Amino acid sequence: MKKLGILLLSLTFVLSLSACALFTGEEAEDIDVNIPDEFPEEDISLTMWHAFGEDNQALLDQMFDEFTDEYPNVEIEQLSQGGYDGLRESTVQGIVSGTMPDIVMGYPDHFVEYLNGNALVPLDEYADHDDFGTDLDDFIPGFLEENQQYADGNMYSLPLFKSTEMVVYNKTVMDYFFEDDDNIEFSLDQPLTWDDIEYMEEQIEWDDEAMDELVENRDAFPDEAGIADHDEPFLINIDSAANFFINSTYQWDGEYTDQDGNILVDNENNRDMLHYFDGLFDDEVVAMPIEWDENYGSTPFSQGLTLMSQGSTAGARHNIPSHEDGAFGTFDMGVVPAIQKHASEDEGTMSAQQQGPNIAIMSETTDEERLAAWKLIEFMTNTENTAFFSMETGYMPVRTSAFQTDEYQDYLALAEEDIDDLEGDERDDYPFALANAAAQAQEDYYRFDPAFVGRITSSSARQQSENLFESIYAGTRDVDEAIAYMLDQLGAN
Amino acid sequence: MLEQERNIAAWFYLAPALILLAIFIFYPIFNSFVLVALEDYNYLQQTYDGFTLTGNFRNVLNDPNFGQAMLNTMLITFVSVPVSVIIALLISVWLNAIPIQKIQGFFQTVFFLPYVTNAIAIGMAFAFMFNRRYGLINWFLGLFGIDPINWINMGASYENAMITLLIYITWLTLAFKIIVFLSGLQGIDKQYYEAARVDSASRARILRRITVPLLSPMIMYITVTSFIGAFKTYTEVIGMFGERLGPPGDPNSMTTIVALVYDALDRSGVPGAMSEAAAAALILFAITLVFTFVNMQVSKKRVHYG
Repeated sequence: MKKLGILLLSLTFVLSLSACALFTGEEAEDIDVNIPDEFPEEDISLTMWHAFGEDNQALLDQMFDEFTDEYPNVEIEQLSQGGYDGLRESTVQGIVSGTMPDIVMGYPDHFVEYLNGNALVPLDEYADHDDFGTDLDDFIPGFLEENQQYADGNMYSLPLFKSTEMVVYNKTVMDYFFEDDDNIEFSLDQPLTWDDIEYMEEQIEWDDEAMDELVENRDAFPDEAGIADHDEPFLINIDSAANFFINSTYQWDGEYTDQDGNILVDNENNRDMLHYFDGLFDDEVVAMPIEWDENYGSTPFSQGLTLMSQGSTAGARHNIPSHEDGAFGTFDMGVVPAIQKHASEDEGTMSAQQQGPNIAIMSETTDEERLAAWKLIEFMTNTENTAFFSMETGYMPVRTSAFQTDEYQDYLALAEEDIDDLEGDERDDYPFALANAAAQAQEDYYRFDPAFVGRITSSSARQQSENLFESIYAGTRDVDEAIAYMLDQLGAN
Repeated sequence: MLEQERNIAAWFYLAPALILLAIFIFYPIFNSFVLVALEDYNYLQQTYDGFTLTGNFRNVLNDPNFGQAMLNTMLITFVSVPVSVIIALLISVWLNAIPIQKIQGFFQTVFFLPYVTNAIAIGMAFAFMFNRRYGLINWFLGLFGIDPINWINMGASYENAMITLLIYITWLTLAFKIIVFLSGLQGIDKQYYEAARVDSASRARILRRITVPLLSPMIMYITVTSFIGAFKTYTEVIGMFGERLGPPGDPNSMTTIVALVYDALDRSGVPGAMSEAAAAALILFAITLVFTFVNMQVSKKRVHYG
């Protein structure tokens, strides 16, 4: 027994010493960028980690095949890490254990964490290189700025596949109520305002005539199904409470956060905004997916439980009405840009949240691997490929030139067609074309929230933004309590 | 010489277990002690700004969710453990009394199923059963004219959410207890029961005077391990409420101490987060140690070892 004790003590002593040895206390070295004069000829193997599902992985494979046709000495392996949280977690573990990928997709929230481990290669010199560089001016400015926001002024990533928010609406119902109403115009170019939403709520009346004309399945109508605690469909669902809060702080000229990690939400403009929406929640005009125990509003929208739903343009395919037994059957769907407080920038601040992953090169790579990786991400974001991926998924092209190609213009023109006139591929592409047209219309006022990491991180601020709005919606907290709770949770009070 | 050879052989046989223990138990524990002493430890670079004795513990104690986590963990522990031990004991006694082996075997399988089923999957099934709109529980209550209760959905009260969680945890933890108690019951000499029957003792008296005392070592073992398990509750909360750790609109209301550890681990790229995770783990370790010590002291007086 005594010997066993001694052995265990010895083992733990040795192990704890080895643990201490890991903590060097030395700062990691800065990344040196040495770009070879020529593209390497030796065999190069690249690993890319991302968070895509099977559909998008197949599209990536298509791109990789074309790239390796041009550079046959490069082999590319892609590996999905599940969702973005899993991707961030795996990458952090990879950095610590020295098993990081060569290329990683992600959001600036992730990249600022990786920079804590000096794990990303700055891309400015590659972009400016005479032989291997790329035209950064061709990238949509807002997308590029997001990748140039880091404290040391370097650009650590390129925009890859981007999206923003749009509103899908039940065209069948809205045409019935508003086709002859000059006050409301559903347009791909012009966003609706919250005033419009209030007006629409006043005008919609579910009398017998409307019921007879519109409701195909009365058993599925909210009142009779008892699915929602509500006697008629909500007017609009908001998918992302976090985006809704952050966007609204800009639209109301309140503040959210800054690059130094200050939480700036506690001000009168934001309180006014929150009180305004609290009123719309109470009046059962605006809903959130938690109303139906869902994560997204696509199913309730399809079932006829809400007439409109604001969500990501990249999620277009999920909103296609497919519930034949829903209240309105398989109704027609329309798309407009995300709702704004002001109809134009002359009247006040407009804001649309830009989303979608960026792509970066990780530091545990040789000079040759970095150059090959750079050429690959440049290839993935070139005019043809960014347009190709957009047309297949509903994500937006990241280059201005992609919008100008004939193929893309033809694709966008689908949005002007009546879906009943479309067949085959064109019919399949229709929802994505609508989403992209709505996204393009908001290009002038895209915004991104600053990424920072410290005691408070931008990702935790975003999480608390979601909690804040959902708690007001659920009635768990009033506006003042919700703001106080957010500051308390972030340790910012 | 022979004894020395036997010792070497014994160490050789023990080596696999010792090596695994050293890697997966002792190393992480000591690593936690090291981590908790580092200030602003950067996990990604393996660097730190200095040493601190209490700084990381203070960060955990000042966490806005620490109080709620303590309250929830204590409630879960001190309600679910006694309740599940008593229910498991009664079910075991009932199972043991079933005279037909095949029926007994069937029920043993039924009661053991939760033990071999994923807790997250069961949590999701429970969340469905307790859904305010289409859940089985509200449907059943409706048969008696009781209005639907909002157990776990948006707007659910803390009390309702906690009751649901306690029911789920109690049910989930019954399986292992029943199996252990059954094996104990089957080891009790039948002569004691025959003697009691001759004396016309009631069933309740037999349970109190024969079954429980003779099963007390098993009860003690189950109680101690259940307390330790309950202090570590986390998966069950995730299974039922998801990563919000509470009903929609009321995040973190069902958080636990282990959830604080995972919350800190989730921020592993942030300087100091890994040390906070270690501090939270060590606080839990200390609490568990104290309660286990108390349990062991009580057991010395109450347990009959044959």
